[in-house]
Amino acid sequence: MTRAFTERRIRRIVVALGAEKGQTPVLEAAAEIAATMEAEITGLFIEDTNLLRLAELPFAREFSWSRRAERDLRAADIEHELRAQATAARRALETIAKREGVAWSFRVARGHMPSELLKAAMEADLMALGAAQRSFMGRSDIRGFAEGVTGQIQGRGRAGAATKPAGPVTVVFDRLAASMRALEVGARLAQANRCALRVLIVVGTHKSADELSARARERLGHQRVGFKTLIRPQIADLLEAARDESARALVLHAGKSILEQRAIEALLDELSCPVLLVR
Amino acid sequence: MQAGKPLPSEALYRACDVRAFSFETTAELEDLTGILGQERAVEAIQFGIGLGRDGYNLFVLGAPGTGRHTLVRDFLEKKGSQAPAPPDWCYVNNFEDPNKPNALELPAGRAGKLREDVAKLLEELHTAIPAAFESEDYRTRRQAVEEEFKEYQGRMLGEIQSRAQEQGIALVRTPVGFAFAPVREGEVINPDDFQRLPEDERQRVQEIIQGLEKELRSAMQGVPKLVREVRERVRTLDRETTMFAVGSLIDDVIAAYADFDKVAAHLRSMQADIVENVELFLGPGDQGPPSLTGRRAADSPAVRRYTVNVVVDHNDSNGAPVVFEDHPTYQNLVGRIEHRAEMGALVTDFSLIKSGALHRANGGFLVLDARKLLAQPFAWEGLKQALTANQIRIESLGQAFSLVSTVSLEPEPIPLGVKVVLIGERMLYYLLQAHDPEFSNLFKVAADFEDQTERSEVNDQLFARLIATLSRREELRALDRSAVARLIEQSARAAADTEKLSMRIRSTADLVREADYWAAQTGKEVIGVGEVQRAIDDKIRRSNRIEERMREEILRDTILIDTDGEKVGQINGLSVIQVGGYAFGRPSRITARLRMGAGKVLDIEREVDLGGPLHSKGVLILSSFLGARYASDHPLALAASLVFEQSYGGVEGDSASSAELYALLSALARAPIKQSLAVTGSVNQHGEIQAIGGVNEKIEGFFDVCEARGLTGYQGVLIPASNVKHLMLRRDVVEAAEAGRFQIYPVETVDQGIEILTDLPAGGRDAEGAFPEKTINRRVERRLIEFAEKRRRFAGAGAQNKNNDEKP
Repeated sequence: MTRAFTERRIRRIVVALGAEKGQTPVLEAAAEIAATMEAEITGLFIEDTNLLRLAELPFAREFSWSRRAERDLRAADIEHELRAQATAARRALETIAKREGVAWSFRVARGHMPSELLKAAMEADLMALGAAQRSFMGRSDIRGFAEGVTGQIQGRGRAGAATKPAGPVTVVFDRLAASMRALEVGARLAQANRCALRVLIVVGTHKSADELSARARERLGHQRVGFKTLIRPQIADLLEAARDESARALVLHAGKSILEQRAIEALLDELSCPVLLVR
Repeated sequence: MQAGKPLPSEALYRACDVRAFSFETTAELEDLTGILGQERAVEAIQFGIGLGRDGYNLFVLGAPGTGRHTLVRDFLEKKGSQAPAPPDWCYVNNFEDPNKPNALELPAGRAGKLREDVAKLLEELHTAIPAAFESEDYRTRRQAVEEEFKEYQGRMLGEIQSRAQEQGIALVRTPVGFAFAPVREGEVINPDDFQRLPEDERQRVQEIIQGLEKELRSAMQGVPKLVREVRERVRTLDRETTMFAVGSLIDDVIAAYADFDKVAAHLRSMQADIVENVELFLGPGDQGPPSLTGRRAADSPAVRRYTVNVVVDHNDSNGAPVVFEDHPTYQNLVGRIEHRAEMGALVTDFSLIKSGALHRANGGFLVLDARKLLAQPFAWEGLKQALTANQIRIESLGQAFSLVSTVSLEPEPIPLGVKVVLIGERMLYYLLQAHDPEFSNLFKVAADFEDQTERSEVNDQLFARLIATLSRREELRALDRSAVARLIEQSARAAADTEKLSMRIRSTADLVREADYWAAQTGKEVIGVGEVQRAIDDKIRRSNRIEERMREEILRDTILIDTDGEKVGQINGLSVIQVGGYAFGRPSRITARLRMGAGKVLDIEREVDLGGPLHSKGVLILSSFLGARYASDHPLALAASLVFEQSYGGVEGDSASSAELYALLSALARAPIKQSLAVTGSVNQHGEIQAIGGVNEKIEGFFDVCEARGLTGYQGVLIPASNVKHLMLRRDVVEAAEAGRFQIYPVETVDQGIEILTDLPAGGRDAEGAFPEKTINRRVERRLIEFAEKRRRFAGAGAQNKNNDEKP
């Protein structure tokens, strides 16, 4: 690691937490970064107002796909269930933070989820997303529900997808200075997990890709790294690239294009692995 | 032999003539291959072993030390080596009912091979099955099944979601599910805003949502069926994958055992079971960490489920087995089911079935000590049950006797074909015959071992070869012929008969071993008569402490025994005391006292329960003799009492009845008895003296007291003439007799005995039926008549007094 990587230290990491299922990878990624950078980690559980509104509608009925059951939805039930989820999230954070030996805190916010996330991201040096899910179900959510049902099919072996090894830590790298910090975070995470590092070079034209690659390689020193070039990608393209790589985590700097509601919504709808936003 | 006269010294001991032996030492003699003097038992054993029918088991009865075990072992091992080795047996899992493990029969030596083959197969399966399930092929096929299902579900949900979106409705995630909600500007509509909508608008939204919910409900109802279908497809895939991995491997093993239907059937069941329980092979491997219970794959559930538990393995057998079970407990006989502790509970399975002696002896011979067998709880019943049913059924005792009702194993019984040989004492044999009705059906052959055999020239030669065999087998020194002769004499002494040899070979073998020790101590190459005598003397010395203490008390006059002088109504009787394995004789003073009475001879020993029934019988016999001989025509108006003085233990046997009669006659005739003599022998109602046991010990017991006080030449012992053939007296006794310092008188009748004891003629009845004057018998008769007259007078005076008293 070169000295340039330590120019601006990451001191505060916010992890967006949600349902118990799926929050372990993002928690672990955030805690590992916190441990290597001596940062403090804050768990953020957001009670989405959309959900609370839904519960107050007189005709709201809740369906459970995996249990194939339905019931009338009551605001009190939702309140209790959110509290239970928050408690579980807090416990998971505490366990992992203690294991990694990092300072931690936890808070619950109520509001519009993308807005709350944006607000938290602005206050943090690094924002970790993964378990927090928007109330509105996206394409990946529907697939997730289907997988929940598939889990009921007990077999003696394992299906191919489930046994694929976790892929590399993937970093989005462009000309902005914040990219260097993203690269640093990605590099540390890859080292902590003893896995490969993949750098997505984001450029306007192919011509400048080599230069950026050389700059990243120079910064990384001897660390094993692979490159892939993307021309003017949208956030969805980045997420798709991460999905293609079976990325263990996606690290990107929180530039202007990211820190806006639509981008956050897109991230929440489409993310399939922990996403670390570095400021 | 002349009755009433002392026996010549040569009648007191029958020496073995060394000149009859042509050898110098036993090293020159051949081994004795047969057995000495047990022809009857040998024939019975040959018959019992040869007759292979149910119930023809043997009971070998006889005294300990007669070579029963050796003979039986030699016979059985010879017979066993000529027979083929019986089949092997093993227990395997019964996959349909694990509580009832199956028994498999295989030719000798093949069960171990089956176990190895199955172990190797399991090892291969532990690799092959996980590999098959980790293969790209399996993963891809499994993935395809699941993807198909996911796509179907996703499409179904996605279509509902699209229709919802088109109508301004969103699918909203809740903590445990999802719900439909109307959306305005990308957010769920505020409930207050919704209430402010026109009624028909609210109605419209609700109807849309209800329609969507109906669609969703319908889609959800189809999911269980879909899941079942997919699950079945995955299961089929798993079965195919397992069969692919297992099939050829198991087929190879099945082919190797194709000739054994039951084994092949078991292997096919095992194949089917593996397909259904393949997860047993997908656990942690040998290299993995131990499980909670500390076990690794070598002791994995798969190994335990499919292993072969060989309970009988004749791989190293060269014939039919001959099993000697020294600890015949119920479980050691019929086998047992062990348990292992798992997480605080005791569990078991077929692999914990352990064989018993019956399993190991099946197809051959089982030798058991009858006393040990009967001493073990339920062992005798277990053995009979197995022999009656002709099968070995392994049950715990609790199970067999319905004491516990917990679930346990019921292994398939194994057919039993075994010849059982019980070795025991005669008493046990006769008790079992008398009290156990099943015994005579199950043990039809009795091989009765003789305690003695004829002492003949031929048998002396065979005895010498027996000693030669013993010394060679135990790598002892050879014995010279004088030592052999001494052992033969000692054997005759042990048999208590000059014409017999004891068949308690163990005692002879002990003497040879001990003589060898003394030869080693004195650096001799060959055991001589001196070493044998030393062994005999030392054996006595080690055992005769009590005898010496008793003699000491006699010599100190604590126990009153006279060995000179004369006394009326007092005589030296002789008894034998057995302490452990050592017997010795001791004199006892017997006295008789008289008075007028009702014709009863009082046995004081009996009155105080110190006399046994045989002793009481002897006293009653002598009473009868007395009445019949002397009081046939007048009442026996006598009250006599007899007692063993200073006897504080019990008195049993009738060997003192002649001595008691002599004491009584002495008292009646007022004729003193010589105290230098002692007497042994029982008497019958006709006054004949009958043989008794322990004659040698009794003579030696009195001799030792006399010798200690100094032999006078008048001392001696009266013995029944019929006991003369039993005399094998100690050398010092024989020498004293030879020198005229101690006499042994053979006696046939009471008259002969009383004459020797009193130096008075006994006297026979003359033509008028009267005994001559100055004879013992005359004096006895006269005294009894006096008692009768006095009694009559006494009775008459009593009647007169009574009449006077009644007069007014």
